[in-house]
Amino acid sequence: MPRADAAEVVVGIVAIELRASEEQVRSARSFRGELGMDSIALANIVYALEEEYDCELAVEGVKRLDTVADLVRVLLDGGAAGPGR
Amino acid sequence: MSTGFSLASRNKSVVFESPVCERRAMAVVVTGMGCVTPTGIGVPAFAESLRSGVSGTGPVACFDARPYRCRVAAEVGGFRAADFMPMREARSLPRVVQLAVAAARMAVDDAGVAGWRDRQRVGVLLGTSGGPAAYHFEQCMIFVERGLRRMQPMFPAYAHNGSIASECAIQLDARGPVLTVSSACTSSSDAIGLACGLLEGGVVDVVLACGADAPLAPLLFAAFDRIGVMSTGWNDRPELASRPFSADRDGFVLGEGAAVFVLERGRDARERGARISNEIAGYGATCDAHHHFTQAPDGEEAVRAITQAIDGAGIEAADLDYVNAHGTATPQNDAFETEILRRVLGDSAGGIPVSSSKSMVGHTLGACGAIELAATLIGMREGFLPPTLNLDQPDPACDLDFVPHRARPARVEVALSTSFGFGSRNAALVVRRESDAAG
Repeated sequence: MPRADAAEVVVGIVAIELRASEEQVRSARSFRGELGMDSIALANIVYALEEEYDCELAVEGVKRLDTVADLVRVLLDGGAAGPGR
Repeated sequence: MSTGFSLASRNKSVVFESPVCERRAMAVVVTGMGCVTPTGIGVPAFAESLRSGVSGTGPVACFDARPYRCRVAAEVGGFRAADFMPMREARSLPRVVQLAVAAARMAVDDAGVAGWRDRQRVGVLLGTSGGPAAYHFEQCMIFVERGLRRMQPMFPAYAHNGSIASECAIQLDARGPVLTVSSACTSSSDAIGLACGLLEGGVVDVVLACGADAPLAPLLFAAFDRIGVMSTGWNDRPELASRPFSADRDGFVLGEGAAVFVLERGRDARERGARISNEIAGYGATCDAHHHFTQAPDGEEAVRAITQAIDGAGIEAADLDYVNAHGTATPQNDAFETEILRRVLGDSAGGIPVSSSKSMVGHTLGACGAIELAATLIGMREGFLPPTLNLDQPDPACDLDFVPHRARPARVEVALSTSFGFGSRNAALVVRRESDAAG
């Protein structure tokens, strides 16, 4: 899956979960610090990505996720081949 | 009406010149209504379906019903949650919550109270029987088949019956008491009656009185199928399956939906210039303390609940112009209810029309009281009696005027709505039209 495609999916999911604009999500250097992401919101984001790509993200890396780049990296490292549905 | 609440209004000086003025001031009135039903989403669509006599029953579409004897249901078709709530909630909330939120939003819009004067004085009182039971089943299957990681992280938030009222409060910014009544099929009638108590007691200024259920999932459906309470003989012609009071009725059609009313004290509603549609004039609730499935054969407590509601409204039974019956289409309920109504209505029984909206929307369990009150109020407002569909051959044991097949033009001043539920519960509401409510 191309990195750019994954980034767009991540941006869309995070924007819905954090009630932010896609531009705010793209430019955020910290979802926690700037967009108010808490552990439940992160769990919802990870859940939505796992459903979208029919994959399972590495649990040990999940707690450090705080940017679009972080989520794209763990998504591609987890072997997500593309949207599963 | 009297619900036993003391008049202890906070920050309000209540001075009445006469008992009539007191009744007018404290009468609980309906100022807004919203609904999501198997025959229409929104009051205008639901009203048109009631007037036209449309069946909401079809083949079960939301799961594979082939293993069951009953294969029909009254589902809400064409519902798009995103039309009523943000995308995050539209994607994640259990269906029963979505239906309730949609109906609540429509009710608030209808009432014109989007900007609450004091949101801390706005309560939510919601009746549901199954609550998120279908969501439980869905998530349980995911847990068993795919593991914990594939369950929704929000499951703990949505797993309890109270989550439906919570979400209504969150989305509509209601900061007063947010409560849930779960009393089987009388749940939403009870919620509406108790909401009146909160208003009469001065606990709140506005209540969103709600009913919601979305039980269409294999587990509960299979359980009802097993005990033989659902229709099985009309799978090939689903629109004929719900046949209240008919000689060949063979059980109810399980349905889903929600209805919500904005309730206020008459004085407050008039002060803000609200459009008042009706008064909730009386409420009665009793329990036979008899059995988990059936009412006590003597009907004593069912009669008492209806009598409480009639007495609370300050009328005689003969004053009723219409009864919206529980009318489930089970062999037991309809004959029992006919007998109960005969006892309550006395010599007037034959002259007071009675109909069952379940012939159109199916049995929506805990939502039925609210949805059927909505049907009653719509009929009162628009000048017709909702019909009883499929009443081709009346049961000799069901010998009242059941408004068969087609809506009937009528002016209704006062109406009764009945609900009976598992646990041998009985509930009744009496409503009065606007002109009487005003004075």
